[in-house]
Amino acid sequence: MILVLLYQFVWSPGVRKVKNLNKIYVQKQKDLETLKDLISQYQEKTAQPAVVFAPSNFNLYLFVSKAIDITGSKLKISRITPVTENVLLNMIEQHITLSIEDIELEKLLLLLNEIEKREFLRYGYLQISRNAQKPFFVKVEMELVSYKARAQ
Amino acid sequence: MSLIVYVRDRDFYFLHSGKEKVSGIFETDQDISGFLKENKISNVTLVFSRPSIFVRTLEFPFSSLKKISQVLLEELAPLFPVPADELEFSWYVVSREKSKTTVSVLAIEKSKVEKWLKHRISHKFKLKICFEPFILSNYVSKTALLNTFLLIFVDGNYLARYTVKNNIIIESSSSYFDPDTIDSAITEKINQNQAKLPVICLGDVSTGKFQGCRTINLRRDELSSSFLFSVFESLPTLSVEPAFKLYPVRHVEIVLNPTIIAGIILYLAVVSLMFRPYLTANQVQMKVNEINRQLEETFRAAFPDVTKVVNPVIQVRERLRNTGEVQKLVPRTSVISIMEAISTIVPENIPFKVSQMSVRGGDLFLVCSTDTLENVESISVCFKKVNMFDNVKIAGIMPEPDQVSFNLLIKIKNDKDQS
Repeated sequence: MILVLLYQFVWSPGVRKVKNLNKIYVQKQKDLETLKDLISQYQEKTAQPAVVFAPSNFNLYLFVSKAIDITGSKLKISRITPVTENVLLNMIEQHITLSIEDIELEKLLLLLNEIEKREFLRYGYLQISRNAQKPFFVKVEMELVSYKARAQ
Repeated sequence: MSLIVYVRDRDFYFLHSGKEKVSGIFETDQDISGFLKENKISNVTLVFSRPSIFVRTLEFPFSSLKKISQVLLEELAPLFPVPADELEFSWYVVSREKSKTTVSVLAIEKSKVEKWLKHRISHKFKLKICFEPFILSNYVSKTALLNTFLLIFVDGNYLARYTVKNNIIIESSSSYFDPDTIDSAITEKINQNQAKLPVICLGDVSTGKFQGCRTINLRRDELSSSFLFSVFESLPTLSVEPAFKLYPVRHVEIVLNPTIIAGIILYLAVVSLMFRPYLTANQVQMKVNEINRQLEETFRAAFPDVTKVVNPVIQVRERLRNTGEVQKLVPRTSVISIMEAISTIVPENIPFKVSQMSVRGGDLFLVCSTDTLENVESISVCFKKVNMFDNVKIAGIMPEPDQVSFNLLIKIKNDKDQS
């Protein structure tokens, strides 16, 4: 009788408790793996890329203006279009598009050199098309991108 | 045959079966096995005389008999000349009040009984153990119709004195005397009657010899070794049990019965087995606690700014949701380098012209022209040899009358890829 009561009120609840705890343990192990995975995802997302930022006083429009002046291709500019800034996690991405008609390859190289000297400037896209009628002139369309540090 | 053994200074015996009666004395070193076997003894009554019994009177300041029985053995131990574990005790209540209980304790040496217990096993007879005071008291009560009296028992040179009140023996003494002095001893005992109780003389005493004494007229059988046997003979229905309740004193003895021990061990084993899940549960609970601690520590290491940790996984998910997409930066590409590479990779003997070049992210798209299809393949091979280009594909070959136009899709390796 005592053994029956012990089985019913001691053994059975004890076994149930162990089963539940084992389930919880397995679940917690999975949770730990998930947590580590989520943390690595979060760290990947929030990682600070090795970006060289533009100086705080850098102005993309001013740069374009100066670069055009240096290369002497002011009259060749057909269109300059500013694009909305993108605010990223720790930086601001600025865009500007340029269309240059019939520019000499030499002047284009000067312009490209001015751009590439600055590590914080990148090409969003660039298209150089040869003028079929004027073999020494090209048409250029480009998007310039600059990265500035975001004020915290 | 029935045997009565009267244990006194010597062991007197009385053997009787119907009309046949034999009385005598067992010698101290006599082996009585042969006697028992020869006479086919079926009943033995062992009577302990007053000298062979230790009698002690104790008083307790309470009336609970249960409590008395619990403390009695402890109280008795120092009162006897023989170690208590060598004695067999019996006790009865002499007087009982609310705050005072007087008990009389009778003790006999176990060794005197054990001898007869061994014979009982060997010869398979019924053994009855009784005490002289109770037998004599019962006899006087039956014959003299008294329940309170002073009894003088004389058996040869043996003299015993019992004070009985309401059939309870409250005092007793005994001694041996020379035949010359026994009369004066009897007179002295009779005179020691301060309570003025009726005095009854029994035994080897002539009727009317002593004043103030009523002598029970019972004659000793001439062949009888003790007067006590005459008492038995004269009243065969005489009870040897006392008129009051006689309690045993039990020694606390731990008897180890292997079966019971095995049963207890088995029971404990089963019971402990029943509780085993709880031990296991504790261990698993500790593991769960440990992994909970790891979860919290991992979370806190990653997010030291968080003060309250409720559910680390949900809290990280929430943070990830709030963080948004991974920030993708435009790769840095040197167009001058690309143009330089394009202008140098194709050998001069192969006509090659680029009419349009597009760069978007890591993709380079060229609209080119050459003279033959064969050179298209050669040009693509040249591009594939350039370290900064990857995955060079020819797309859209358009043969024209004087040239072949084609497109090249090229992946630009970034700085990391090139290294």
